[in-house]
Amino acid sequence: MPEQEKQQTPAPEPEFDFDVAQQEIGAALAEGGGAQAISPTIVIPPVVIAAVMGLLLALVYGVTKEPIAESKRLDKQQKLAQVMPGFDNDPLTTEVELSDTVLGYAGMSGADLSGIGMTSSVNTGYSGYFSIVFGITKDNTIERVRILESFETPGLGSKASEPFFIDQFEGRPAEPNFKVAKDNGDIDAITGATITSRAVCDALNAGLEAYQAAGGAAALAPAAPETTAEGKLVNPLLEKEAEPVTEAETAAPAGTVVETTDQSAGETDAEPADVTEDTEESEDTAETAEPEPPAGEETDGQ
Amino acid sequence: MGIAQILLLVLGAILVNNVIFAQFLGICPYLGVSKKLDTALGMGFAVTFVMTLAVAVTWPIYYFVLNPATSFFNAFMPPDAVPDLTYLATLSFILVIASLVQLVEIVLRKVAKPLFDALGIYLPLITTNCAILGMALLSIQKEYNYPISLVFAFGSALGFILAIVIFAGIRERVELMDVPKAMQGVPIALVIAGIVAMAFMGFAGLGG
Amino acid sequence: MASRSVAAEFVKGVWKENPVLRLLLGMCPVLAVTTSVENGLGMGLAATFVLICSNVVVSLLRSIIPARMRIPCFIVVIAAFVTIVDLVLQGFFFELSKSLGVFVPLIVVNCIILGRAEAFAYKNGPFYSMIDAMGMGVGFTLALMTVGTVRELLGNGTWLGFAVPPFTLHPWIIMILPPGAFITLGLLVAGMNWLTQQQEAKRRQAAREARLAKGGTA
Repeated sequence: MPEQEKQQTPAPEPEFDFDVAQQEIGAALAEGGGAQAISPTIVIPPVVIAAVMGLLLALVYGVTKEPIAESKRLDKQQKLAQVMPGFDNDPLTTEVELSDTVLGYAGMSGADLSGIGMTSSVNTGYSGYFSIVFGITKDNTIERVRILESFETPGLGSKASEPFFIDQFEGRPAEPNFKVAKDNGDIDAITGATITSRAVCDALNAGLEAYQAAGGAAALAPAAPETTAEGKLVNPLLEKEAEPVTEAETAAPAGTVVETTDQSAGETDAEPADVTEDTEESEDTAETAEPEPPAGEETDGQ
Repeated sequence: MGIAQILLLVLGAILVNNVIFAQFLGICPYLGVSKKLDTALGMGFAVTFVMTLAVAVTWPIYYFVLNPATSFFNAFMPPDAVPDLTYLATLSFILVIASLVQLVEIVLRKVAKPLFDALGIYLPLITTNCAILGMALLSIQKEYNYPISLVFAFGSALGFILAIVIFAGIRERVELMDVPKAMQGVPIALVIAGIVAMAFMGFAGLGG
Repeated sequence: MASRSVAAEFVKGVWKENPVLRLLLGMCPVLAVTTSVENGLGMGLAATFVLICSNVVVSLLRSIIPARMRIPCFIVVIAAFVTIVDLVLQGFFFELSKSLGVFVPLIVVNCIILGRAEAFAYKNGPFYSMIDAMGMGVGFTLALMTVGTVRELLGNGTWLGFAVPPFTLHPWIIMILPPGAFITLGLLVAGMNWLTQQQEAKRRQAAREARLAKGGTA
């Protein structure tokens, strides 16, 4: 067999010149495309080949579908584990869509909420889609921020991952007011990559806004996402009502959190008439006086 | 997206994320047809034309046929049954681009003879230009909407023209230089490209 | 006899007709993904797989592919195998597939693959087409790894992720940025040219001496 093949083999192509190769391919393309009449026999082989290849592809797609989904899941899980405070559940099962670009995840330590993980993306319009992942602790500070996906200039863009820049956010209160120094903020931008730095701030702010709009950490606790579609309407109200309480309690030792939250939630259930008014009020207080441990707010809410 | 942002996108695509110097797309024609200024310009315009057209055609194909969330199958199928055909993107895009180039050639020959005379010889080379397929894939990856994709493709193509014209200008002069024999041709072209790329890195902070 | 020819076909792709350093084909990925040796190796193996599969398939189908429709047929075959590689990378080598990014699907338009289908596989049997593809693939991979080695060593002070002492002191960041790619490849191609020219000169010298010696005796 090799003998037979050998006779056709002696590949007599001369020096493979780039220009010539391009022109040959070009010429072949031009002649192949067919401004001329195409007889059906000439079309059959390509169509058959395309069909067979398509089948093969569908097969491979079927086989790799699961592993691809799995590796994407693992990747996200790993990224979340980097930014969220200690948890022992699978945060991906608690995914909540907070807005078109923001997803929230709850980290549980046993039965207690240990922190929140979020992904947020912005379209910078400059180099496109850009997404970050960040974690928020129970006491409403930023745990850590990492870049999830970026299509920035290779090399320069990845500067955004450098510790001096990305670690600035750690321990800051989770308020959507991050700005780079150039925009009168206090975040030091990466030299020569202000737009990237700004994109990180924008993504973070968008995430935090969605987080606050949803009602903070408590809204993301697994109890909330597990309620059904109609619960979506009711729940934010309930959780907002409960929010100041949770915030107050998170300053206290962790063990008591769940009890009090449940209690206040139960109480709100009992008096549904007052809920809407109260919500607005407590939302305001939550936004203005959030960082303080508000002992008075609890009585306010009731 | 406001006008300012669109301008920034175009500027970014031309200078900061230049197809050649930052993204390394379309290096073959860049080295192949940059020996003379006028051929470089011709190639540049042909690429601009086809690149914009390619994105104009592949974007709808992706969103109306391949992507299960938005495909037209949704109109007459339950959402669960809509096939996810996104894996066919590469295959369908390259076929579409190849036929598109053919079509453009035929149409131009019939309709706009002068334009065909100017761009005709570059058109067949464009199918294997990875910048075209690259842009089609990137505007999907970057999740741009339709008008922004077009602007992005057009801006990137302008970046290609800029790169290839600058380069042809330099190369015409290098022809007259006493370049060491081993460096002649492509090696010196690559080193020059490296130096120009360095200059383009200065644009990295632009707009910020 | 046959085996020698097989070896010749293989070595041809690695050295004499190295697709990147000699034929100057498929430059885009060589410049783009060689920020590290690992990426270069991954890209090289992915392209080699596509090259072998498409060469063999094209060669097997060469009698039923009509000459006028051959390029579309090649493109379909190549694109299918590229998508397979893309899916497999995403499923089992997620990190690598992310760092190679859009350059995995772009293997479709890599001039090497279409070029080999057109210049070799369409004219030769499947066995030799496979050998040709393997040679070209290995040549491509080696070129990618060489560029990757230079860039990773100088730019990052590491090789395949391992720190290499003298280089870790002052990494030249520019080497992993775009300009480093162009300059590294330019100098490598020049090096190859220089070697060829040396050999050429030596051969000519030998020929002249032989002629002289012959003339002397006559």
